[in-house]
Amino acid sequence: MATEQGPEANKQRKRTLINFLIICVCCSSLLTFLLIPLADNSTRLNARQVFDSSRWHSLQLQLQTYRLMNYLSDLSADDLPVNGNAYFQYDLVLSRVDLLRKGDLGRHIRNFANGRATRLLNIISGELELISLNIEHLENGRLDQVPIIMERLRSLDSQITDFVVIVNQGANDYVTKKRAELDVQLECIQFISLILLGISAALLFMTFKLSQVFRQSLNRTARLEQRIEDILNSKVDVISRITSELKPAITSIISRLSYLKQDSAKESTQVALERVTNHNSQILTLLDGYHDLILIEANKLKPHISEGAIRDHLEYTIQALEPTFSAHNVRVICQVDPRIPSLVDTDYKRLHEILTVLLLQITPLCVDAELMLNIRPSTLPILRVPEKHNDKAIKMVQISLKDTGEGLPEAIQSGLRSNPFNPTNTVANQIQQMGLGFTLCHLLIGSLDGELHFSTTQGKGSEIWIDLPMGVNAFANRPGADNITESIAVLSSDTFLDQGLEALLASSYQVQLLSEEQLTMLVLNSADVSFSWLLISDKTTLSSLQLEYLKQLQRQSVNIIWCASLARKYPEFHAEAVYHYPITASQLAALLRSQD
Amino acid sequence: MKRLLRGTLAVLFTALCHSVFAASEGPEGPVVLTVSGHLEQLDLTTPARFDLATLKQLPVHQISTQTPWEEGTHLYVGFDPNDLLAQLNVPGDVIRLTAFNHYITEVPLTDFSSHRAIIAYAMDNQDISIRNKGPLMVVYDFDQYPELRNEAYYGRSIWQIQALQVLMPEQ
Repeated sequence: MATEQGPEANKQRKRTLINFLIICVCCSSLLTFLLIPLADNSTRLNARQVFDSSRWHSLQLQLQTYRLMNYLSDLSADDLPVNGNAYFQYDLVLSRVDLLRKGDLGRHIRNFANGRATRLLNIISGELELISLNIEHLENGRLDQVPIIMERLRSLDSQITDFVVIVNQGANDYVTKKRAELDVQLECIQFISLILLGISAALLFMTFKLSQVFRQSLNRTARLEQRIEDILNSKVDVISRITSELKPAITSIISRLSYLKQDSAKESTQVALERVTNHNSQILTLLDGYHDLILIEANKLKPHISEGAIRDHLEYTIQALEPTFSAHNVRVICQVDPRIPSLVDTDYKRLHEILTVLLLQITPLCVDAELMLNIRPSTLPILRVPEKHNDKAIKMVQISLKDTGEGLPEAIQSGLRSNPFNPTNTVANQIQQMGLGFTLCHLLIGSLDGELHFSTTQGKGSEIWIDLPMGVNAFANRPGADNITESIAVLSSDTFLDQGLEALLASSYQVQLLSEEQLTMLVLNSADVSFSWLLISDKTTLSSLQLEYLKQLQRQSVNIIWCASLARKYPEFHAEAVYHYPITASQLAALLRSQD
Repeated sequence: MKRLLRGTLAVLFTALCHSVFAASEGPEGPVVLTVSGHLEQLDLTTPARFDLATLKQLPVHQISTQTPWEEGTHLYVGFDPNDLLAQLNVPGDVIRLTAFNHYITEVPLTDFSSHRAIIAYAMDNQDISIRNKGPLMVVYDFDQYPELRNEAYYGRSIWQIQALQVLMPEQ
C-alpha cells in the first residue's frame, strides 16, 4: 500500500503523523495539568470545617446558654457557696463565643450576611462579659444575682437565635455557592475527560492502522529476505557450477604446461611456459576466491577444521609463492615462534587461501623490500568461540606480515577499517574499493571468527596482524639459552633483514650480529672465533678485501652461508652453503646440517 | 551494682504506680478526669478519679502544631492514655471520651502510639482554662502528619474532656 504511493507521499504521511502525535501529546499534557488544580480545588471546597463547623458551634453556643440558665434556675440557698461552679458554667458558654471568633471559623463567619453575624456575635460577647460581674457576686454567695443574670440571658436569647439563624443561612448560602463552583468544575472535568477520551480513541485508531502497516512491512521484509536468500542460493549454484567446470580444465592445463616445461630445452620457452602456468594458477585462485566470496555472502561457508603441522603448511604456502616473490625481488622470511606447538587445529585450506591472496596483494607493494611472516601466540581475547574439532583448547594465534615496502594505499586502508559484515558495506563495494584479494581476505578472516588489524606508514612499509582462533593444546615455553650450544654469526647489514634472520635462527643457535668493523678486527687480530657459521645476506656489499677475510675465516673452520645472488655475483668465492628466498626454518636447518 | 540499680528502679516504679493508684482512691485537688471501664482488677466499683497533679506525674509528651481552632503554632504538653491505662493495668483498645458539653467521641488507642497524639493539659507551658477548651484536650500532630487533616481526626480532637471510658473491641 505504502510502496504504491511513492516516497514523497510516504514522507508527507509520515510528517502529518508526527505532527498529529505531537498535537495529541501536547493536548493531553495540557489537559492533564488543567485537571490537577481542579481536583485540588475540589478537595479544599469539600473540607468539612469550612461550612459545617459554623452551624455546630453556633448551636452549641445556644445550648450552653440554656444550660447556664438551667443551672441558675436550679440554684437554691442550699447550694451556696457554689465553689466555682457558676464560673465553670459561664466559661463553657464563653469558650464557644471565643471559638466562633477565632481561627478559620471566625474568618469564615465574618463573611455571613454582610458581617451581620459578626456584629451579633460582638453584641452577645459584650453582654456576656457584663454578666461576669454578677457571676462573681454569685460566687461570693449572693443568690439575689440569679434573677438579674436570668433576665439578661433571656434578653440575649433572641439575639443568639438570630445569630444561629444567620449562621445557618450563611452556611447554606456558602454551601450552595461552593456546590455551584463544584458543579462548574465537574463540568470542566467532564469536558476535559471527553476530549481526552477523543484523543485516546484517535490514538487507538492510529495504533491500529500503524500496526496494520507494521504487519505488512514485516511480511514484506520476510518476503524480501526469502527472495535475497533465493538469489544468493542461485548465485552460489551458478558460481559453484562455473568453478567445478573450469577448475579441472585449468588444472589439466597447468599439469600439461609443467610436462611441456620439463620437455623443453629452450630457456625462453621455459620462461614463457612458466608465465602461462602462473597466469593459470592465478585464474584458479580467482575462481576459488569468487566462489568463497559468494559462499560467505550466502552465509554458507563452513570451516573444515583439521589437525596439521602448521609450520609445514606455512612453509608450503610461502614456497608456492616463490616465483611471485622473485619477480618483485622481495626477500621473504618465514618464522614460526617456538611457543607454537607442532600440531594445531585450524582450517588449513582457508588459511592457505588467506595467506596466498594477502601475499599476492602485498608483494607488488614490496618491490626490492623485505617481508617477514611470523606466527606466534596472540594476546587478543576470543570474542566468538568457533566449533571445536577435538579436545584441544581454543586459543588465539597471530600471524604477522611485516614489510618494508611502500605501505598500503589509502583506499585499502579505509576498506580494511570498515566492518566487512556491515549490511551497508556490500561485497561489491568492498571489491570496488580494495580489490578482490583484500576483500576476500577480510571476509574469510571474519568468517573464521578472526580479526584483521594493520599499521602502515607511507614509504616505510606496513604490518598486518591476523588473529585467528585455533585449536592448540598449550603454548610451549621459549627454549632456554643454556640448551643452545651452537652459535652463528650474521654479518650485519643494518636492515630489517637482520632482525628477521636473527629471529629465525634464535630458536636453534646463539646468534651474534657481526659488523664489518668487527669482522675486520676479528681477522686482523687472528682472534679465536666463537661461531661455526657466518651468514651473509644479499643486503651486504662485499669488497675484495672482505672476501679475503672470509677465506681466512674458512681456514679457521668457519662455514660461510650466503644468499644465492651473492653466489652469482662472486663466482670466485666458494661458500659452504647458499640459501634462496623465501627463507624458512626448514631450508636453513637443512643447509646448516649438511656441513655438520 | 547492677542488682542495686535494678532494685532502685523497681522501687521508683512501684512508688509511681502507688501514687497513681492512690489517686484513684481519692484525689487531693479538683477532679479533672474520671476513668471507667474494666477496673475490676483494681477492686473498684466506682470510676477512678484523677486530679491534674496526678496526671502530670505520668510520662510527659509534647507536640508543637497548628490546629484549625487556634491562630498559629502552639506547644501542647500532656500524657499518653496508654501510659495511664498501663499503670492502672486496664486492658482496652478504644477510649470513649466525654466533654463537659456532653459531646462524646471514641478514639482508638493506636492513635496515641502510632500518630503520637496526646491528651494535653498545658498549652504554651500554661494550664489550659475551661474557657480556652481545657483542662484536657486531645491534640494530634497535624503538622507532622498532614494526612490527619480530615473530618475523622478533627472529630476525635475533643476538648474540655471530663470522662474517659475504656472499651474492648467487642464493645
